[in-house]
Amino acid sequence: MSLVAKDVQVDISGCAIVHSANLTLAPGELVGLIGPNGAGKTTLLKAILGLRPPTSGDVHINGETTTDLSSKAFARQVAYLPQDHHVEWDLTVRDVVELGRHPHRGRFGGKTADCDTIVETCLREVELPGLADRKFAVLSGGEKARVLLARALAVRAPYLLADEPVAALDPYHQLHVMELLRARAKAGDGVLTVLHDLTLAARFLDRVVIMDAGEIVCDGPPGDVLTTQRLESVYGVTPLMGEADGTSWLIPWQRRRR
Amino acid sequence: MTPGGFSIGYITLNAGLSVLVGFGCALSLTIGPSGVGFGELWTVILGGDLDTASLILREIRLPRMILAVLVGATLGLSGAAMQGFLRNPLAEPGVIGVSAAAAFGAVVALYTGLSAVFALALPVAAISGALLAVIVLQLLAGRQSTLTLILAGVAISSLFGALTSLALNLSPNPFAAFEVMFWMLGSLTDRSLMHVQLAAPFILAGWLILAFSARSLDALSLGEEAAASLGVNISRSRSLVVFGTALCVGAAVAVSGVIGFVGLVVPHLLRPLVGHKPSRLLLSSALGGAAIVLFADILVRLITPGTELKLGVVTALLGAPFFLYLVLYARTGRFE
Repeated sequence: MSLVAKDVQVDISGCAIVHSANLTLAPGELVGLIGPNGAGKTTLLKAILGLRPPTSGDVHINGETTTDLSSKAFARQVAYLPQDHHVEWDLTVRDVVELGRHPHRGRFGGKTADCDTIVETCLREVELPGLADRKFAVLSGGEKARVLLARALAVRAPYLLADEPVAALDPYHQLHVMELLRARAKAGDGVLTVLHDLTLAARFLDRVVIMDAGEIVCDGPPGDVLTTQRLESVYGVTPLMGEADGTSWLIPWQRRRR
Repeated sequence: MTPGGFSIGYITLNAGLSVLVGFGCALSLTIGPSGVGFGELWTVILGGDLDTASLILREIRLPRMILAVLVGATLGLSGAAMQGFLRNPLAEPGVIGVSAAAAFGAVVALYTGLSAVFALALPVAAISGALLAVIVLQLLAGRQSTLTLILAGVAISSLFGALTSLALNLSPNPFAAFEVMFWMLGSLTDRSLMHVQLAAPFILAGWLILAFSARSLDALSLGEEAAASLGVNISRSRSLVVFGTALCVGAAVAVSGVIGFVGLVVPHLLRPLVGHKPSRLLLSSALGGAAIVLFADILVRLITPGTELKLGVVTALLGAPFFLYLVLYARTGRFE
């Protein structure tokens, strides 16, 4: 039981954006994919999702090659939360969250019987109960982010891949979204998220995968991976570290002097 | 909410629009310069034979009514599908170039005199033009992005528009040019059941194909990548929308000429009433399009009985200011 990327290579116009990446996501863990801009994090995420098919290598889900699955069967296994918060047309929150049920519906079949219940449950999970009949467009940025998370959760897939889910959110909502992702992992989902915030990474993740220049350079628990030496070599940034409430914290403090 | 997931409001809306279409059909059969009205219609329906009256009803008004429904529903449906797929409220069925190509096909038939030799040459040429356009479009933009599709559509539209102008420019005599220009204004006058028989299969096939795209249009509200991650095959959806539109709009232009603004305005008008959901808009927009074209076609018979105004002129005259009104009110938020 796991989602595995094996020797995934993505070339874009002859240039290797992701180079021979190996990554495993098991149920129940919250894994962060971090690294500087242009490291290939989003590209790797999209390669795993099949949105940008790998040039070579493949992706397995519970032992099956994903290219052997129909697009809907794959969609039922892996939910994707894009970075983009834009929803076209003036839809209600219910309509937006309901779209998560798309992989479970036939071409003309109506809603599945449990659809309304799942929408309600997912909105409660992201702590926005009773918001179903509001228009998505009038929500605040933090609410939109959580509604779209509810949309991804409504797929009820065992794996969730999120691309920078806390980008452009205020600190309160950043903590909130990270707590929600951790809750999903605790509930048994495998969650993989691209992150830029090293403080949140050190605080919330079960495992950290660092990418640099298209390659995965290390993979392990935050305490082992997020060391001063590594952050200096990958990010060119010296961190400040400490402990609070029994967990360690980390702040990117200053650029390394060259 | 009903078990099928359709709200009572949605069912009421479609029932209301259906009644409007039915009413329009009845008026369309009973209004015209010959003075054949409801009484005669009723007698003929009950099996009575009134010679000229039944002839007028069957040969003149019935094809016109059927074509108004087919063409109107086509424009409304394909406009809604195109706006949903492109996620652009300014899209209309002509944006991928099929209308211009179909019109050019018709112009070739008129210009070469083929249409004078046998009557169906014109619609056949127009449908061929639309199919040619869609093949070119698939070759240019088949696997490319949606933006490429729009750009290729604009290019094809301009090219066929230019070729039509060229034909007018090189016209051997002014009468040929007049004929072409009048045809291009769009009308349902003097069409026969042969036109219906020719266009209907293409139109119905196009509707069916567009109906298959409905569910993916909803998922596309989240953007192409999110939709793909929900199991939507984007290039397949694009092919469905492009081929479906080409078939029904090509066939509609073939029998009616170019009728503007219906495909743009009707989806706009009805979108707030179906809760903005693209899949729900398709049926309502088809019914709305049919109703508008039916009533516009009745209007042209009533306002200037002598020299009938062309249908396309009327829809544009009514549609353009109305569209402007929608844009202004939607922008200030008062319309919603």
